[in-house]
Amino acid sequence: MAEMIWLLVGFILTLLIFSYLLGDNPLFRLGTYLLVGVTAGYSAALVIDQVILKRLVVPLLIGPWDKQLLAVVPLLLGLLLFSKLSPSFARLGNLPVAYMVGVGAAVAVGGAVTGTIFGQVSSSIQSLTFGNGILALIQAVIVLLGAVSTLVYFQFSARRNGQEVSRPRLVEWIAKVGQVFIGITLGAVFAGVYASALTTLIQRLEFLMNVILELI
Amino acid sequence: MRAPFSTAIAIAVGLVVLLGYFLPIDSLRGVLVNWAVTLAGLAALVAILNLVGVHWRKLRTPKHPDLYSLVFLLAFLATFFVVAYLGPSDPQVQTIVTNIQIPVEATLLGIVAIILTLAALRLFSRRQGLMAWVFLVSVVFFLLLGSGILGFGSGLLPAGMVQFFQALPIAGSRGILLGMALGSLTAGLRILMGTDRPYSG
Amino acid sequence: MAMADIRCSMCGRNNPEDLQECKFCGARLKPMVAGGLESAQPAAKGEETDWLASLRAEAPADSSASDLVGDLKGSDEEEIPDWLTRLGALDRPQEEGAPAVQDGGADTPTFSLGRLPEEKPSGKPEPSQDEGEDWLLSLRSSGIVENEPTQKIHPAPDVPEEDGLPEWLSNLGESEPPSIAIPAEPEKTGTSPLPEANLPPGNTDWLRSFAANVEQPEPANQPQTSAEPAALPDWLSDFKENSGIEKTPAAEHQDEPAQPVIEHPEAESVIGLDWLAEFSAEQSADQKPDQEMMKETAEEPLPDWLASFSQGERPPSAAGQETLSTAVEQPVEPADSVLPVGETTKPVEPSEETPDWLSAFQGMSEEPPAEPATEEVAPDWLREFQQATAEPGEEEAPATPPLPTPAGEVSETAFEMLEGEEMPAQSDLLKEWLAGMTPVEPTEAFLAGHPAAEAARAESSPARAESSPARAESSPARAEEPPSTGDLPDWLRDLQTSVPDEQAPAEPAGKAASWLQEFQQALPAEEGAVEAFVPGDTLEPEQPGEKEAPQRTPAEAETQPEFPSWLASLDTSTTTAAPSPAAFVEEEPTRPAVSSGSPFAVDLPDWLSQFGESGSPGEGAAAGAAATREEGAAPAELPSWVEAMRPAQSAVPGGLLGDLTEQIVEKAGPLAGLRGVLPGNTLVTEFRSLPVYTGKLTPTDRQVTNANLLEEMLSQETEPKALPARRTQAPAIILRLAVGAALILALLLPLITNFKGFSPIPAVAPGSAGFVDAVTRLSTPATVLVAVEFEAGFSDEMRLASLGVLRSLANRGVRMALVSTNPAGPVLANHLLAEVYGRPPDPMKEAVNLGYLPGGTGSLLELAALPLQNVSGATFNVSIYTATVPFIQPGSRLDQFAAILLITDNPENGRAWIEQTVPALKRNPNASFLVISSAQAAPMLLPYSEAKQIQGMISGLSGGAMFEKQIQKPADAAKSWGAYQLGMLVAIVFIGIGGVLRGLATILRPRVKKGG
Repeated sequence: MAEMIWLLVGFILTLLIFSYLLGDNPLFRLGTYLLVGVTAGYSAALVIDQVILKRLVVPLLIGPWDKQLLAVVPLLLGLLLFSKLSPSFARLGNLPVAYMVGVGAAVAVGGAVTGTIFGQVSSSIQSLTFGNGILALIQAVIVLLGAVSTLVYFQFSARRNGQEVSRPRLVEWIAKVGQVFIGITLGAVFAGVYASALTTLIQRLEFLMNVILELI
Repeated sequence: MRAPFSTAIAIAVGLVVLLGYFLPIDSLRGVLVNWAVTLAGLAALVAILNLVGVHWRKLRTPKHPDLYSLVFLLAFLATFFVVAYLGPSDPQVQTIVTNIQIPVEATLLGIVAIILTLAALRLFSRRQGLMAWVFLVSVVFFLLLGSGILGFGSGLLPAGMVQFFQALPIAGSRGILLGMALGSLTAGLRILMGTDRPYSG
Repeated sequence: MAMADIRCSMCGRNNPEDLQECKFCGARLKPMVAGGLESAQPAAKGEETDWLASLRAEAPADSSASDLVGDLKGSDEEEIPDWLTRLGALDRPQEEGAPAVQDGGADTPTFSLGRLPEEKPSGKPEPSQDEGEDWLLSLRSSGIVENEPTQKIHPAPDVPEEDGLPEWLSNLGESEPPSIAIPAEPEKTGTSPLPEANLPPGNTDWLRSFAANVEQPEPANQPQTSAEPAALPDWLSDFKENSGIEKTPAAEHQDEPAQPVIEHPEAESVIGLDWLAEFSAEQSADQKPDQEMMKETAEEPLPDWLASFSQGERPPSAAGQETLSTAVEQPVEPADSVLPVGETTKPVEPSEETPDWLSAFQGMSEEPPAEPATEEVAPDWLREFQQATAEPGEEEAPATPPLPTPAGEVSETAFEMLEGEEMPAQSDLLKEWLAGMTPVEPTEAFLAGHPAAEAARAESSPARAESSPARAESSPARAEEPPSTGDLPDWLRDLQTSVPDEQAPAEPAGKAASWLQEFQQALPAEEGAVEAFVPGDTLEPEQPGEKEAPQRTPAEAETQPEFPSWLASLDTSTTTAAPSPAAFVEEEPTRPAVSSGSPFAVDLPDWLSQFGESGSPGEGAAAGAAATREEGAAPAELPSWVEAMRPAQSAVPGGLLGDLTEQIVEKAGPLAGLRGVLPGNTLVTEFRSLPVYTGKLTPTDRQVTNANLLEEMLSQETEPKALPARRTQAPAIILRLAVGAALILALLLPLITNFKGFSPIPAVAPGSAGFVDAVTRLSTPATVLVAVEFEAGFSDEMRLASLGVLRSLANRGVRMALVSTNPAGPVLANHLLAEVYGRPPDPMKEAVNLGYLPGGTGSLLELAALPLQNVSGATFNVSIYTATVPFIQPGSRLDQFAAILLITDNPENGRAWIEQTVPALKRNPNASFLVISSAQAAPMLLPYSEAKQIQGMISGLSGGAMFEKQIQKPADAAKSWGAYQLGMLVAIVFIGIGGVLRGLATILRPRVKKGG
């Protein structure tokens, strides 16, 4: 019975959201506000359970003294962070934010260098080999050309010649090629997004069918 | 100099964490990152509390109280107390989430499918140009490819050709990924050098 | 010139000072010779001042007068007066206020009037100076200071009669000895600062003659020079000597209102430009009226621009002063140091650049020194002028108003018009001064130092303030001027002949008498009509200051305070023998001289045009007046800018003039058959039907265009804009519903019918080869870290994509530890595991949910760097600690997992995972990083797969279906394949439909021509 109720809840909520096909309406808003409320409530409880309890309270209460000592720092920083809720004391929260920003910046830099830049560049270089056949080589060249031209396309530095701001002709030409590759990529992304949404829609329709079949 | 102490903290911690990628200082870096992760979790909680406060104020607006905020608050409080009481891993809590969160979000994404279909109808009416035509052709091609009609081997096109076309978006996406990585690198370095201080506001 | 001699204006011979009639020709010398030669000169100057002042003060009015006369000739001139009067009136107040001349010369007409009265009473030496100072001051204060001189100069230039000058100039020369006396100054100024070199080559004869004329009076004025500053040049000192007369008490009386003038008479005289100083210096107190006469005569011929200067009272703008000063200074360059006022001493433009008139000025100034301005040098016309002045009785001649038309009738009507115009303004005073018309004799007034004349002027000034102050001023001058019949132009002679001799012996007087009769007859009826005629719009209303001003002057109080000057002239013309003719003679000829003689009539220098444009409608008025005065002078002679200023339709209705000229023939009663017997009726009717003065201008095409644009803009602003029809969302909703319905139907049909799709599930997908191999290689002891990094909305897709893989792993006994950086991730992970296993998995054996990893990318780094138990001390099930899970060894790190299976819908999450964990995972060469992505994230994650950073990747429904196909266990993904394929084709179809519609729309759309 409870399962059926929850199915009906899901069914109703699905219909509420589908009502958006008729335009923005209270039913649709009701469903979205409900979603946000549930998600926020669940997230808040989850954070309390998974962060505050697990990472702050438990180490302070149960862990060894060194861990207890180390747990004090995030506790203090966390308390300062809550000062952001009050405009009067918001500046106190700058310190924990600075701490997080510093770590985040370092993580981003390290990840970008070690994960993407090195990996992608080295891959592009390594793929330029006859070992995989001529077709693979051509493909590798195209991919390399496409990557470089795309990067050039995003290179917006230009010289100002009087009133005109222009890039060198060669750069312009390469950027045009990059634009083509970007167009191809975005087309693929569009198709992928549509495929994802279509898959989800199929699942929702199937869910509705199943619920209806259940009800019937 | 604005927020010198915060800047010093950000730079110092950032440099230590960054050096950890190349130097064997995982312990120190681990501690620092652990603190940052904890703080990030608390920051999420702060954000949620701020969201609740916003809706609370909207609800208390004298003339036009936002009833949808009431819905939000009710849903929030109900979920929060239930999850807090039962625990996030409780099966009943999981039922609540899966029967509320998944239908709504999935339906929203399903509507996106309809909207994208509508957009497909208007693709030709959009601005014409090299980018538009390339995009249009790419969309059609990858829709066909995704539908399996041009599938590998079993489709209308030979596998080699399909693979070749499949590699075309990789070129662009690699360039985009490299650009994003370079952007992240630049932004991170600016922060680590103290040029940008998004925390001093 | 010796002051003892008086030159007869008729015969040009010198007469003893005490004589009242020329001993040679019997012409009357008295009125003008009252003060000796000086008086004669001043008399001429008085005339000048009169009409000059009139021009200056109310060029519009003056022009109106002339225009009225001109109206008789042409309809165009009808328009000029009134609006010009208004315009002039608008400008005057500022100037008048500044000079604060006796009248307080508050406003427009008063400007001239206020000063003229002063000047007139200045018949005494001092007053004469004051007079010159007065009007100079007024000019200066109004920025016209320099113009005045030019005006004065101008009259002289116009004088040359024999050189082709108009008759009036010859008359001037004959009738006005003062004009002769004027050149006497230059004689003195033989030492004067006006060097010959300054004389422009284009110096006209009249200028020379003028200079010559100026010489004569100087000696007479010498006594006055004592009062002048030492710095003044000789000629200026001469002037001051002459103007010493101005310092007489009478002048002081006059100066009372114009204190500044009194305070700095010298400076003013100096400031007033040298030649002006000469001018004024030459004028003795007795000559004051003569001076005014001169002014009148001089002003009339003034070119438009000069008239505008005098009329358009502007604040002493530097530009104007500069230009004027330069105009005057150029010749006076040596005297620059003498000129105390910087205005006049401002750098003079090179003579080459100076306009013609300036060169003329220079010529004038140069002439005197070059030619001591002796009588020999004086042109013929000047000689005649001198002769005329020597002749007695000429003084009275000019008493009549300036009637341009020679035709007797026309002149009469014109005069009536003039009177009619004045009347309204003087309506209050009409009776009084009319009553005093007879008793007051202008000659007496002049002889008595012209108090009466001044008074009359002063009185008339307020009245003229409304209409034509110039007339008022000129009238006394006319009265003073003896009607020299011999000098009369033909038309005046006609007048004389046509006018009965009853009223005055002189023909002109008789002429004037005739029209006066008419006027008098019409007066009673006119008064009312006049009042009606003078609407406040057309004529400047009298200002209290103006009325008060005349009262202030003692001279006025002594005589007839309310007697308008022009009436005084009437009086003289009627009672004395020589009233009008001189005036007619003077003015009329001057007109042609003015219009034709002044090179500015057409080609004005820029700065002058600026002046004119800057708001001196008087210029236009003067121009119009000049044009009208010219016989047959067409308005075409007006400068374009003047014409532009003229209202196209503002004019006295043509019918007015027509009626006036036609004269009504009485058809009944005792006067039956008589023509024009009762002009009053005409006046009444005419005045009542007087013009509706419109301010229409004749704009240029560009102005019209701009005006139209402005009008259009304004109209657009005022017009209520139709609010853009609020877009109804119905079409969009309908279209959305239609598309949605089509798509839903396309998806439901395969689901209902269990459609398998148009083509089989592909066996291979991009990057899927490595994925299948990696997954299939995983076996029982392996533990896989599964990252559930997708949102609840993508759970359906991710479930279809990953379910087959997870089931495959689970079937092969691969243990799984699930983590997520997404708050909803743990729940979704549990939901997924429950579906994989068909039940909640055993965390100790099968799969454990490690829970939520806060901090996003940071937690991934932590996961990569720290032992797993440190990262997540407790599982998602708080009661279970990570360290207690058997397949997660204590201190195990990331590289101890056989594989990391990332299930993500977001390329950012995938990138973060790859960036942070792949390096750590690489420590285990056997470990693999596998990705199950959403279809939308695949394009951005494929590069990692292509770069072998990840070992395999499948995406979306197709990837899941493909994997299921690969492992030969079709599941949920395969079920939805048909619907999925159809849905993709629907999108393609809709794109095609959109293209077709677009093409049809392009074809059917009416093509717009290029440039259309």
